[in-house]
Amino acid sequence: MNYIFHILVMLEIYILLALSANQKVGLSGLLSLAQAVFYGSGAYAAAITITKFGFSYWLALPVAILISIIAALLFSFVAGKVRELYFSLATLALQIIFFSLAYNWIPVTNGTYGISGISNPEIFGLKINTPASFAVFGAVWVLLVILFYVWFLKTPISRLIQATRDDQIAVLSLGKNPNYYKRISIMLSAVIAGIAGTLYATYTTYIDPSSFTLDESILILSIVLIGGAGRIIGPITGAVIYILLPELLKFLQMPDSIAANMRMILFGLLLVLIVRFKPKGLFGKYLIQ
Amino acid sequence: MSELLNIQNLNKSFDGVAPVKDVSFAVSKQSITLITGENGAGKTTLFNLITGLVKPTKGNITFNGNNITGKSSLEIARQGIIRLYQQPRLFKNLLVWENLVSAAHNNTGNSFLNLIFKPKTAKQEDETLEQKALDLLTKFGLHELSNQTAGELSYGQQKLISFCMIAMNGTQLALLDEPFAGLNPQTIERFSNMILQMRSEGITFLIIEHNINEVLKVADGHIEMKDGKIKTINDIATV
Repeated sequence: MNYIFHILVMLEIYILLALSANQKVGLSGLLSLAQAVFYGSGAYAAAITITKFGFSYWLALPVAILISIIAALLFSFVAGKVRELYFSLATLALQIIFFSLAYNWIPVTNGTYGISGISNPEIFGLKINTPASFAVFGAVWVLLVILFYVWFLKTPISRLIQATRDDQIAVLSLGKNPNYYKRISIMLSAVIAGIAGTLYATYTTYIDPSSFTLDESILILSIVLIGGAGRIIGPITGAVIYILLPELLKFLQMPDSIAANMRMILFGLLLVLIVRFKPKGLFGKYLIQ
Repeated sequence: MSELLNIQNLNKSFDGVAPVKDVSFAVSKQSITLITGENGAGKTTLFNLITGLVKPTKGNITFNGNNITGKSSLEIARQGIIRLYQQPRLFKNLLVWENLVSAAHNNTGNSFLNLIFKPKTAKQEDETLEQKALDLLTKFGLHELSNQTAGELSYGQQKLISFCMIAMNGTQLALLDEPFAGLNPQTIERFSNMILQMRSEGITFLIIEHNINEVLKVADGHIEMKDGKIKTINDIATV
């Protein structure tokens, strides 16, 4: 039973990551290869404040969000002014810088050894330290983020973020600053990825740089591509497929060594089929370009 | 009629090539001025200079008494100058009414902080603007397009919708770049009527158009350009 709850927790973390990527890619049209950076900055901020300063989860969370916002702001001031391929290249550079920092800034991140002993969250003295309780905790976060989007997608600023995606020059001609809307989108995306990072760090109680690589960023992007960008349902579907696909393979009773590779082969195959036959993804509103 | 736009000795040169040379003219409020000329006459560069997309080498542009020479496109657009391109630039994945509401300036919810700290005002204003957009579409007989995705509209419909965005934006001066290109006679007539109606509501127009006869039906003035200079300026009575 614990295994099922573990799968649920991972699913919740990936739903949050996919929704955060959807904010940038789906709503803003900014193809980011650095989603793992904001995921990682949230995770490291939580891990460092909890293990080195003795913060509780509820103190570490705002710090993690703040650090994600600052990182997003700094990044958006530099990369928010460039578009399309140039933006993607800037995110690639950010991803490489972040990984190098996490890997080499040993006094802070402990390098490849990672940070262990990250305590679990507590609510009213109740420790969330089992997969079942964490699954409920994670579900609350997912629900909050989904409710946020149900509201946010109807707001004027969300429309202008999407308008900037569709035609930046037209937004400028109307006397609105497209860079502002890109900046807001990058920040929102970073905050949600940062929350996912705090969940991951406090669930696994150990993090190291290998969880926040370029591969992870591409994977998060692929999840959105498969589920479809621009709607809430798309990234959720993508995350469900990514997490549950290997579980289905278990019914085929393959040896573990083959099943792990088969997961990526099937996921890759699905990606190719989606790009070929349903370029907007399963439930996408917007074609990622 | 009082003056809205005044251009004095405007010059632009790129590496020795001067697409605009010593251009001076004034435009009155609520007027419609046609700008014509052959390809390379400097019409589009003139629009680029007025909207701040390129900076003049010499000369002054005054709008509503304010010197806007060399200001950024964003600052100029915020003062009430809008430009519509030959190809309609709609937000193709948004609905038609969403396009119109997105064009409006006075929407509290356009700012994230306002949305968080003044949610009620933001919601009320947005609802008011949505109603204004629907009224505008009804006024121009386009209400049936309201809930369609803008990218799915025909070329002519997209042009008409992009034109409606002028009225939502609180524009004072609209620069139209070949508005009638690619339109059928019925749509041109509809477009002309919309221009006249918007002028009566206070909007001033500068129009680049090769389809001269159609614009002359509604224009008050005509500027002809040649080799970057103004060849003739006429009010319509003398054309």
